[in-house]
Amino acid sequence: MEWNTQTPWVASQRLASSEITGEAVVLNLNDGNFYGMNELATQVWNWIQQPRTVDQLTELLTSEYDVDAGTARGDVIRLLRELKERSLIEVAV
Amino acid sequence: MPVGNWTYSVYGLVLTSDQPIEELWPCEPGPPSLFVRWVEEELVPDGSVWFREWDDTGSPSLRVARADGRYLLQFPGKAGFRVSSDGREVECRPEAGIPHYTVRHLLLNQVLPLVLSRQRVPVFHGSCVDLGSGAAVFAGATGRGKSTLSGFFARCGYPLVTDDCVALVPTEAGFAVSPSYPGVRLWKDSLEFLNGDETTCPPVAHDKTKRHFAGGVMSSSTRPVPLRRFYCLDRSEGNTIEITRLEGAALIREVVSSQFLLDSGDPRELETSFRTACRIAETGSCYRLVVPRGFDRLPEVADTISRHAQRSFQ
Repeated sequence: MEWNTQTPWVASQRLASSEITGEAVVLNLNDGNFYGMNELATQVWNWIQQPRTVDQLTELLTSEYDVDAGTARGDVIRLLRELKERSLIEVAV
Repeated sequence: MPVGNWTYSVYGLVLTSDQPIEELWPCEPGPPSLFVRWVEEELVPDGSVWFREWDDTGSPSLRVARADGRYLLQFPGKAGFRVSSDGREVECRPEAGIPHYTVRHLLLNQVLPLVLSRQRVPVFHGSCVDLGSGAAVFAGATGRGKSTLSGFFARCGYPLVTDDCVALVPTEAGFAVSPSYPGVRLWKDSLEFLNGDETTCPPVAHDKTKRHFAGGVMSSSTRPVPLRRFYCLDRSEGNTIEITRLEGAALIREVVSSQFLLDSGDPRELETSFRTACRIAETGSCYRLVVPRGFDRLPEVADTISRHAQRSFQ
Protein backbone atom coordinates (compact mmCIF):
# COMPACT_ATOMS: atom_id res chain seq x y z
CA MET A 1 0.00 0.00 0.00
CA GLU A 2 1.31 3.41 -0.98
CA TRP A 3 1.34 5.84 1.94
CA ASN A 4 0.50 9.44 1.33
CA THR A 5 2.64 11.26 3.85
CA GLN A 6 0.22 14.18 3.90
CA THR A 7 -2.85 12.12 4.86
CA PRO A 8 -3.89 12.87 8.45
CA TRP A 9 -4.50 9.77 10.59
CA VAL A 10 -6.27 9.67 13.93
CA ALA A 11 -7.23 7.02 16.51
CA SER A 12 -10.49 5.29 15.58
CA GLN A 13 -13.71 6.21 17.31
CA ARG A 14 -14.87 2.88 18.67
CA LEU A 15 -11.93 2.16 20.94
CA ALA A 16 -11.17 2.29 24.63
CA SER A 17 -7.59 2.89 25.62
CA SER A 18 -5.51 3.54 28.68
CA GLU A 19 -1.86 3.76 29.67
CA ILE A 20 -0.74 1.25 32.26
CA THR A 21 2.82 1.31 33.59
CA GLY A 22 3.91 3.27 30.55
CA GLU A 23 2.31 0.89 28.09
CA ALA A 24 -0.72 1.84 26.01
CA VAL A 25 -3.45 -0.77 26.10
CA VAL A 26 -6.18 -0.52 23.50
CA LEU A 27 -9.46 -2.39 23.28
CA ASN A 28 -11.25 -2.50 19.94
CA LEU A 29 -14.92 -2.25 20.90
CA ASN A 30 -15.99 -3.69 17.56
CA ASP A 31 -14.37 -7.07 17.99
CA GLY A 32 -13.25 -7.16 21.65
CA ASN A 33 -9.56 -7.59 20.75
CA PHE A 34 -6.83 -6.14 22.97
CA TYR A 35 -3.55 -4.63 21.91
CA GLY A 36 -0.56 -3.71 24.01
CA MET A 37 2.01 -1.24 22.71
CA ASN A 38 5.72 -0.84 23.32
CA GLU A 39 7.34 2.47 24.27
CA LEU A 40 7.63 3.83 20.72
CA ALA A 41 4.13 2.72 19.73
CA THR A 42 2.73 4.21 22.93
CA GLN A 43 4.36 7.54 22.12
CA VAL A 44 2.97 7.56 18.59
CA TRP A 45 -0.41 6.41 19.90
CA ASN A 46 -0.53 9.41 22.23
CA TRP A 47 0.38 11.78 19.39
CA ILE A 48 -2.23 10.32 17.11
CA GLN A 49 -5.10 11.05 19.44
CA GLN A 50 -5.37 14.12 17.24
CA PRO A 51 -4.94 14.02 13.46
CA ARG A 52 -1.30 13.71 12.37
CA THR A 53 0.36 13.02 9.04
CA VAL A 54 3.36 10.76 8.49
CA ASP A 55 5.49 13.88 8.05
CA GLN A 56 4.29 15.36 11.33
CA LEU A 57 4.84 12.12 13.22
CA THR A 58 8.30 11.76 11.69
CA GLU A 59 9.20 15.26 12.84
CA LEU A 60 7.90 14.58 16.35
CA LEU A 61 9.85 11.34 16.51
CA THR A 62 13.15 12.87 15.39
CA SER A 63 12.75 15.70 17.89
CA GLU A 64 12.02 13.29 20.74
CA TYR A 65 14.47 10.48 19.98
CA ASP A 66 18.01 10.25 18.65
CA VAL A 67 17.01 8.88 15.26
CA ASP A 68 17.49 10.08 11.68
CA ALA A 69 14.51 11.14 9.57
CA GLY A 70 14.70 8.19 7.17
CA THR A 71 14.63 5.60 9.96
CA ALA A 72 11.90 7.50 11.80
CA ARG A 73 9.73 7.71 8.69
CA GLY A 74 10.11 3.97 8.11
CA ASP A 75 9.15 3.23 11.73
CA VAL A 76 6.14 5.53 11.54
CA ILE A 77 4.83 4.01 8.31
CA ARG A 78 5.35 0.48 9.61
CA LEU A 79 3.47 1.29 12.80
CA LEU A 80 0.62 3.10 11.04
CA ARG A 81 0.23 0.16 8.70
CA GLU A 82 -0.12 -2.21 11.68
CA LEU A 83 -2.60 0.08 13.40
CA LYS A 84 -4.60 0.43 10.19
CA GLU A 85 -4.70 -3.36 9.67
CA ARG A 86 -6.20 -3.67 13.15
CA SER A 87 -8.70 -0.86 12.53
CA LEU A 88 -7.20 1.18 15.36
CA ILE A 89 -6.70 4.28 13.21
CA GLU A 90 -8.65 5.94 10.45
CA VAL A 91 -8.22 8.82 8.06
CA ALA A 92 -9.20 12.05 9.80
CA VAL A 93 -12.02 13.91 8.16
CA MET B 1 -42.50 -6.33 38.45
CA PRO B 2 -44.02 -6.70 41.96
CA VAL B 3 -41.77 -6.62 44.99
CA GLY B 4 -41.16 -10.08 46.41
CA ASN B 5 -41.71 -11.28 49.94
CA TRP B 6 -38.11 -12.26 50.65
CA THR B 7 -35.26 -9.77 50.80
CA TYR B 8 -31.58 -10.70 50.69
CA SER B 9 -28.16 -9.17 50.43
CA VAL B 10 -25.89 -10.62 47.75
CA TYR B 11 -22.99 -9.26 45.70
CA GLY B 12 -23.49 -5.87 47.36
CA LEU B 13 -27.10 -5.60 46.18
CA VAL B 14 -30.52 -5.89 47.78
CA LEU B 15 -32.42 -8.69 46.05
CA THR B 16 -36.11 -9.40 46.52
CA SER B 17 -37.72 -12.64 45.45
CA ASP B 18 -41.22 -14.06 45.55
CA GLN B 19 -39.73 -17.43 46.51
CA PRO B 20 -37.26 -18.06 49.32
CA ILE B 21 -33.60 -18.41 48.36
CA GLU B 22 -32.27 -20.10 51.44
CA GLU B 23 -28.57 -19.89 50.53
CA LEU B 24 -28.54 -16.09 50.81
CA TRP B 25 -28.15 -13.75 53.76
CA PRO B 26 -31.55 -12.24 54.66
CA CYS B 27 -31.51 -8.48 55.12
CA GLU B 28 -33.86 -5.71 56.11
CA PRO B 29 -36.23 -4.65 53.35
CA GLY B 30 -34.81 -1.67 51.50
CA PRO B 31 -34.81 -0.21 48.04
CA PRO B 32 -34.14 -3.34 45.98
CA SER B 33 -31.73 -3.28 43.10
CA LEU B 34 -32.76 -6.67 41.79
CA PHE B 35 -36.14 -8.41 41.55
CA VAL B 36 -36.47 -12.14 41.04
CA ARG B 37 -39.84 -13.61 40.12
CA TRP B 38 -40.58 -17.29 39.67
CA VAL B 39 -43.10 -17.92 36.91
CA GLU B 40 -44.89 -20.82 35.24
CA GLU B 41 -45.24 -19.34 31.77
CA GLU B 42 -42.78 -20.32 29.07
CA LEU B 43 -40.07 -17.65 28.88
CA VAL B 44 -37.94 -18.92 26.02
CA PRO B 45 -39.89 -19.36 22.78
CA ASP B 46 -38.94 -21.87 20.12
CA GLY B 47 -36.89 -20.33 17.36
CA SER B 48 -34.94 -17.97 19.63
CA VAL B 49 -31.75 -16.81 17.96
CA TRP B 50 -28.84 -17.54 20.27
CA PHE B 51 -25.89 -15.19 20.16
CA ARG B 52 -23.84 -16.88 22.90
CA GLU B 53 -23.51 -20.50 23.90
CA TRP B 54 -21.52 -22.24 26.58
CA ASP B 55 -20.76 -25.82 25.77
CA ASP B 56 -19.71 -28.28 28.47
CA THR B 57 -20.09 -31.68 26.92
CA GLY B 58 -20.86 -31.28 23.26
CA SER B 59 -24.28 -29.79 23.81
CA PRO B 60 -25.04 -26.28 25.06
CA SER B 61 -25.21 -25.92 28.84
CA LEU B 62 -26.31 -22.28 28.59
CA ARG B 63 -27.33 -20.13 25.66
CA VAL B 64 -28.38 -16.51 25.42
CA ALA B 65 -30.68 -14.67 23.03
CA ARG B 66 -32.04 -11.14 22.75
CA ALA B 67 -35.79 -10.62 22.44
CA ASP B 68 -37.93 -7.50 22.76
CA GLY B 69 -35.22 -5.52 24.51
CA ARG B 70 -34.61 -8.29 27.02
CA TYR B 71 -32.26 -11.23 27.34
CA LEU B 72 -33.30 -14.87 27.37
CA LEU B 73 -31.06 -17.37 29.11
CA GLN B 74 -31.77 -21.04 28.63
CA PHE B 75 -30.24 -23.98 30.45
CA PRO B 76 -31.66 -26.69 28.17
CA GLY B 77 -33.77 -29.17 30.08
CA LYS B 78 -33.34 -27.32 33.37
CA ALA B 79 -34.62 -23.73 33.41
CA GLY B 80 -35.21 -20.58 31.43
CA PHE B 81 -34.61 -17.01 32.58
CA ARG B 82 -35.75 -13.69 31.16
CA VAL B 83 -33.71 -10.62 32.12
CA SER B 84 -34.49 -6.95 31.63
CA SER B 85 -31.95 -4.98 29.63
CA ASP B 86 -30.85 -3.02 32.71
CA GLY B 87 -30.33 -6.23 34.70
CA ARG B 88 -32.76 -5.23 37.45
CA GLU B 89 -35.50 -7.80 36.79
CA VAL B 90 -35.08 -11.54 36.46
CA GLU B 91 -37.87 -13.99 35.74
CA CYS B 92 -37.21 -17.66 36.28
CA ARG B 93 -39.03 -20.73 35.03
CA PRO B 94 -37.80 -24.17 36.09
CA GLU B 95 -38.47 -27.04 33.70
CA ALA B 96 -40.81 -29.74 34.98
CA GLY B 97 -39.20 -32.07 37.51
CA ILE B 98 -36.11 -29.95 38.10
CA PRO B 99 -35.41 -29.52 41.83
CA HIS B 100 -35.63 -26.02 43.24
CA TYR B 101 -32.05 -26.17 44.59
CA THR B 102 -30.71 -26.82 41.10
CA VAL B 103 -32.47 -23.76 39.76
CA ARG B 104 -31.26 -21.65 42.69
CA HIS B 105 -27.70 -22.78 41.89
CA LEU B 106 -28.14 -21.71 38.27
CA LEU B 107 -29.63 -18.40 39.39
CA LEU B 108 -26.98 -17.56 42.00
CA ASN B 109 -23.84 -18.85 40.31
CA GLN B 110 -24.50 -18.39 36.62
CA VAL B 111 -27.37 -16.01 35.95
CA LEU B 112 -26.81 -13.30 38.56
CA PRO B 113 -23.09 -12.81 37.79
CA LEU B 114 -23.99 -12.28 34.12
CA VAL B 115 -26.99 -10.11 34.95
CA LEU B 116 -24.95 -7.83 37.19
CA SER B 117 -22.80 -6.84 34.23
CA ARG B 118 -25.93 -5.08 32.93
CA GLN B 119 -25.98 -3.06 36.17
CA ARG B 120 -22.29 -2.23 35.56
CA VAL B 121 -21.27 -4.25 38.63
CA PRO B 122 -17.95 -5.94 37.86
CA VAL B 123 -18.16 -9.66 38.65
CA PHE B 124 -15.30 -12.09 38.14
CA HIS B 125 -15.04 -15.85 37.96
CA GLY B 126 -13.11 -16.44 41.14
CA SER B 127 -13.05 -17.01 44.84
CA CYS B 128 -12.05 -14.74 47.72
CA VAL B 129 -10.93 -14.85 51.34
CA ASP B 130 -10.23 -12.17 53.93
CA LEU B 131 -6.56 -12.52 54.92
CA GLY B 132 -6.72 -9.86 57.61
CA SER B 133 -4.65 -7.45 55.53
CA GLY B 134 -7.56 -7.34 53.08
CA ALA B 135 -9.29 -9.48 50.50
CA ALA B 136 -7.33 -11.89 48.32
CA VAL B 137 -9.12 -12.75 45.10
CA PHE B 138 -8.21 -15.89 43.17
CA ALA B 139 -9.49 -15.51 39.61
CA GLY B 140 -9.19 -17.83 36.66
CA ALA B 141 -10.73 -20.55 34.56
CA THR B 142 -12.52 -23.61 35.89
CA GLY B 143 -10.35 -26.34 37.35
CA ARG B 144 -7.45 -24.20 38.55
CA GLY B 145 -8.18 -24.78 42.22
CA LYS B 146 -9.75 -21.46 43.23
CA SER B 147 -12.41 -22.94 45.50
CA THR B 148 -10.06 -25.51 47.02
CA LEU B 149 -7.56 -22.77 47.85
CA SER B 150 -10.22 -20.55 49.41
CA GLY B 151 -11.68 -23.53 51.23
CA PHE B 152 -8.25 -24.32 52.66
CA PHE B 153 -7.80 -20.74 53.88
CA ALA B 154 -11.29 -20.86 55.39
CA ARG B 155 -10.44 -24.09 57.21
CA CYS B 156 -7.38 -22.27 58.60
CA GLY B 157 -9.66 -19.62 60.09
CA TYR B 158 -9.70 -16.91 57.44
CA PRO B 159 -13.23 -15.72 56.64
CA LEU B 160 -14.53 -16.68 53.24
CA VAL B 161 -15.85 -13.69 51.31
CA THR B 162 -17.27 -15.42 48.25
CA ASP B 163 -16.81 -18.46 46.04
CA ASP B 164 -17.26 -18.85 42.31
CA CYS B 165 -18.24 -15.22 41.66
CA VAL B 166 -16.42 -12.14 42.93
CA ALA B 167 -18.29 -8.84 42.80
CA LEU B 168 -16.31 -5.65 43.31
CA VAL B 169 -17.60 -2.35 44.59
CA PRO B 170 -15.59 0.85 44.01
CA THR B 171 -14.29 2.63 47.10
CA GLU B 172 -12.21 5.77 47.63
CA ALA B 173 -9.08 3.67 47.99
CA GLY B 174 -9.81 1.30 45.13
CA PHE B 175 -12.22 -1.61 45.43
CA ALA B 176 -13.86 -3.82 48.02
CA VAL B 177 -15.15 -7.36 47.50
CA SER B 178 -18.85 -7.88 48.25
CA PRO B 179 -19.81 -11.08 50.03
CA SER B 180 -22.13 -13.53 48.28
CA TYR B 181 -23.20 -16.43 50.48
CA PRO B 182 -21.48 -18.96 52.76
CA GLY B 183 -19.65 -22.02 51.54
CA VAL B 184 -17.50 -23.24 48.68
CA ARG B 185 -18.31 -25.64 45.85
CA LEU B 186 -15.87 -28.56 45.71
CA TRP B 187 -15.16 -31.72 43.79
CA LYS B 188 -15.12 -34.92 45.83
CA ASP B 189 -11.32 -35.12 46.19
CA SER B 190 -11.09 -31.52 47.42
CA LEU B 191 -13.97 -32.10 49.81
CA GLU B 192 -12.21 -35.11 51.30
CA PHE B 193 -8.94 -33.21 51.64
CA LEU B 194 -10.71 -30.45 53.58
CA ASN B 195 -12.34 -33.07 55.83
CA GLY B 196 -15.78 -32.43 54.42
CA ASP B 197 -18.38 -35.11 54.83
CA GLU B 198 -20.17 -36.01 51.62
CA THR B 199 -23.27 -37.04 53.55
CA THR B 200 -23.69 -33.57 55.04
CA CYS B 201 -22.61 -31.56 51.99
CA PRO B 202 -25.41 -31.48 49.42
CA PRO B 203 -24.66 -31.50 45.69
CA VAL B 204 -24.82 -28.02 44.17
CA ALA B 205 -27.34 -29.35 41.62
CA HIS B 206 -29.13 -32.63 41.00
CA ASP B 207 -26.92 -33.42 37.99
CA LYS B 208 -23.58 -32.23 39.44
CA THR B 209 -21.02 -34.10 41.49
CA LYS B 210 -19.68 -30.91 43.07
CA ARG B 211 -20.72 -30.43 46.67
CA HIS B 212 -21.59 -27.35 48.64
CA PHE B 213 -19.25 -27.25 51.62
CA ALA B 214 -20.02 -24.74 54.34
CA GLY B 215 -17.90 -26.49 57.00
CA GLY B 216 -18.80 -26.44 60.67
CA VAL B 217 -16.10 -23.94 61.61
CA MET B 218 -15.91 -22.01 58.36
CA SER B 219 -16.52 -18.32 58.91
CA SER B 220 -17.84 -16.00 56.23
CA SER B 221 -17.70 -12.25 55.80
CA THR B 222 -20.98 -10.43 55.77
CA ARG B 223 -19.49 -7.04 54.89
CA PRO B 224 -17.41 -5.85 51.94
CA VAL B 225 -13.68 -6.39 52.43
CA PRO B 226 -11.14 -3.96 50.89
CA LEU B 227 -9.32 -5.55 47.96
CA ARG B 228 -5.69 -6.29 48.81
CA ARG B 229 -4.59 -8.71 46.10
CA PHE B 230 -6.09 -9.84 42.79
CA TYR B 231 -4.35 -13.08 41.88
CA CYS B 232 -4.83 -14.56 38.43
CA LEU B 233 -4.44 -18.22 39.28
CA ASP B 234 -2.75 -20.76 37.07
CA ARG B 235 -1.39 -24.29 37.44
CA SER B 236 2.33 -24.96 37.34
CA GLU B 237 3.73 -27.74 35.21
CA GLY B 238 6.57 -28.00 37.72
CA ASN B 239 6.90 -27.78 41.46
CA THR B 240 7.43 -24.10 42.02
CA ILE B 241 5.12 -21.49 43.50
CA GLU B 242 5.47 -18.27 41.54
CA ILE B 243 3.99 -14.85 42.18
CA THR B 244 4.81 -12.23 39.55
CA ARG B 245 3.41 -8.80 39.02
CA LEU B 246 1.00 -8.41 36.11
CA GLU B 247 1.36 -5.29 34.01
CA GLY B 248 0.15 -3.64 30.84
CA ALA B 249 -1.90 -5.46 28.24
CA ALA B 250 -1.29 -8.85 29.86
CA LEU B 251 -2.91 -7.58 33.05
CA ILE B 252 -5.91 -6.13 31.26
CA ARG B 253 -6.38 -9.29 29.20
CA GLU B 254 -6.27 -11.53 32.29
CA VAL B 255 -8.65 -9.37 34.30
CA VAL B 256 -11.17 -8.84 31.51
CA SER B 257 -11.15 -12.52 30.55
CA SER B 258 -12.09 -13.42 34.13
CA GLN B 259 -15.08 -11.12 34.08
CA PHE B 260 -18.69 -12.22 33.62
CA LEU B 261 -20.28 -10.36 30.69
CA LEU B 262 -23.81 -11.07 29.56
CA ASP B 263 -23.49 -9.22 26.27
CA SER B 264 -19.88 -8.83 25.24
CA GLY B 265 -21.15 -7.60 21.88
CA ASP B 266 -22.45 -4.48 23.60
CA PRO B 267 -19.66 -1.89 23.31
CA ARG B 268 -20.81 -0.15 26.52
CA GLU B 269 -20.57 -3.36 28.50
CA LEU B 270 -17.18 -4.09 26.98
CA GLU B 271 -15.90 -0.60 27.72
CA THR B 272 -17.13 -0.75 31.33
CA SER B 273 -15.27 -4.03 31.72
CA PHE B 274 -12.12 -2.47 30.26
CA ARG B 275 -12.35 0.63 32.49
CA THR B 276 -12.80 -1.57 35.56
CA ALA B 277 -9.73 -3.59 34.62
CA CYS B 278 -7.77 -0.35 34.22
CA ARG B 279 -8.91 0.85 37.65
CA ILE B 280 -7.89 -2.47 39.19
CA ALA B 281 -4.53 -2.11 37.44
CA GLU B 282 -4.08 1.32 39.02
CA THR B 283 -4.40 -0.22 42.49
CA GLY B 284 -1.23 -2.22 41.77
CA SER B 285 -2.82 -5.29 43.32
CA CYS B 286 -2.70 -7.68 40.33
CA TYR B 287 -0.37 -10.66 40.27
CA ARG B 288 -0.08 -13.94 38.41
CA LEU B 289 -0.08 -16.79 40.89
CA VAL B 290 1.22 -20.11 39.60
CA VAL B 291 0.83 -23.04 41.95
CA PRO B 292 1.79 -26.73 41.70
CA ARG B 293 -0.77 -29.48 41.61
CA GLY B 294 -1.36 -31.65 44.63
CA PHE B 295 -3.14 -31.13 47.92
CA ASP B 296 0.06 -31.80 49.85
CA ARG B 297 1.48 -28.46 48.63
CA LEU B 298 -1.54 -26.40 49.72
CA PRO B 299 -0.19 -25.44 53.17
CA GLU B 300 2.98 -24.10 51.56
CA VAL B 301 0.97 -22.29 48.86
CA ALA B 302 -1.30 -20.70 51.46
CA ASP B 303 1.67 -19.62 53.58
CA THR B 304 3.37 -18.03 50.55
CA ILE B 305 0.22 -16.15 49.63
CA SER B 306 -0.42 -15.04 53.18
CA ARG B 307 3.10 -13.58 53.48
CA HIS B 308 2.89 -11.99 50.04
CA ALA B 309 -0.41 -10.33 50.86
CA GLN B 310 1.06 -8.80 54.02
CA ARG B 311 3.84 -7.09 52.12
CA SER B 312 3.66 -3.67 50.55
CA PHE B 313 3.02 -3.65 46.83
CA GLN B 314 6.22 -4.30 44.88
